[in-house]
Amino acid sequence: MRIPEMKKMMPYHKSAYEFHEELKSQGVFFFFNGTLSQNLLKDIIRNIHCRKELEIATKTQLNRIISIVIELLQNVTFYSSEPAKYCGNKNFSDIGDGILMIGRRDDAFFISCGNPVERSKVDIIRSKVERLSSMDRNEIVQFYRGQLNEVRDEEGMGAGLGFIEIAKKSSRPLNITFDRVDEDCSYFSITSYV
Amino acid sequence: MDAPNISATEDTPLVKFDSEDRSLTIRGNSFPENTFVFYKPIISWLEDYLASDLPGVFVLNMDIGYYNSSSSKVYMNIFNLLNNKGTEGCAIVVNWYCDSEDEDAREDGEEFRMGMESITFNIVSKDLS
Repeated sequence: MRIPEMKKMMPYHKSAYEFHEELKSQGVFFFFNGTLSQNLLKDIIRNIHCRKELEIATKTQLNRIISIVIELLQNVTFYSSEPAKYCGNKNFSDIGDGILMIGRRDDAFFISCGNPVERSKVDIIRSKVERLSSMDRNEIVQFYRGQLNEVRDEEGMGAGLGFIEIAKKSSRPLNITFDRVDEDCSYFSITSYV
Repeated sequence: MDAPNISATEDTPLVKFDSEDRSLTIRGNSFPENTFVFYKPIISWLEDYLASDLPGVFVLNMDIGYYNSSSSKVYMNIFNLLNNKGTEGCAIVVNWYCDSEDEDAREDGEEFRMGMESITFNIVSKDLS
């Protein structure tokens, strides 16, 4: 059978190579889609150290990228743990479904992360991030300092500092979007530039 | 309660107490899944130890690599605890070690140092090159 005929018969899907080229054209040099966990986070940090694309990063930039990856992934495992139907086994609090991309474009590194969240959490996340986006770096640092002393609860997984930490380490305002998946779930996307 | 003697892992630091020079060292990465669970026994031990009113200087050496925001929160709590003890008359020194090539590391130390008026809080630059 000739190739063009075969293509016509098969339902078209992109090859891994086509995905690879598309990611490359977007400046993405690290991509992961699937179940995120603490073990994977450790692997990713090890992997980041080996990426030749990051050789041009300063020590400060590299440390900022790793800090942001830690916050984003621990955020995913935190926020994504509720809707069990999207993240496998609910008994594993450290497991969440998500995407992580690291790349470079417009003279900056970027870290993009996405995960399904309950729609009831959309407004909470949006107001947290929008508040930070309206602040300059000085204001973010002041706000961070206040929160560091204020939040005293030792329950739960996080201290509510994650987005502030990410904003503090980012060179541009955080970019977020929510896409509706169904009546219970939205897909949360966030991009940080370093 | 036994003094902490914990080996480092990829995501949790070494925590070791030296009773001879009364120093507690926390060294390594700190981004465990549940930060508060990791640090809770350490803080409990520290509270008991500082309540025992021993003579001499207590030193906390903090040489932290990558750490999550929950760890920042825990460190702030520890420094506040030490500062309160300092107010009561305990002699306390904190050494915050930072990588000289990382601009943020010193700033982080300076943020922690703010308001710590009753303890000696040193920011020590590590020249890694």
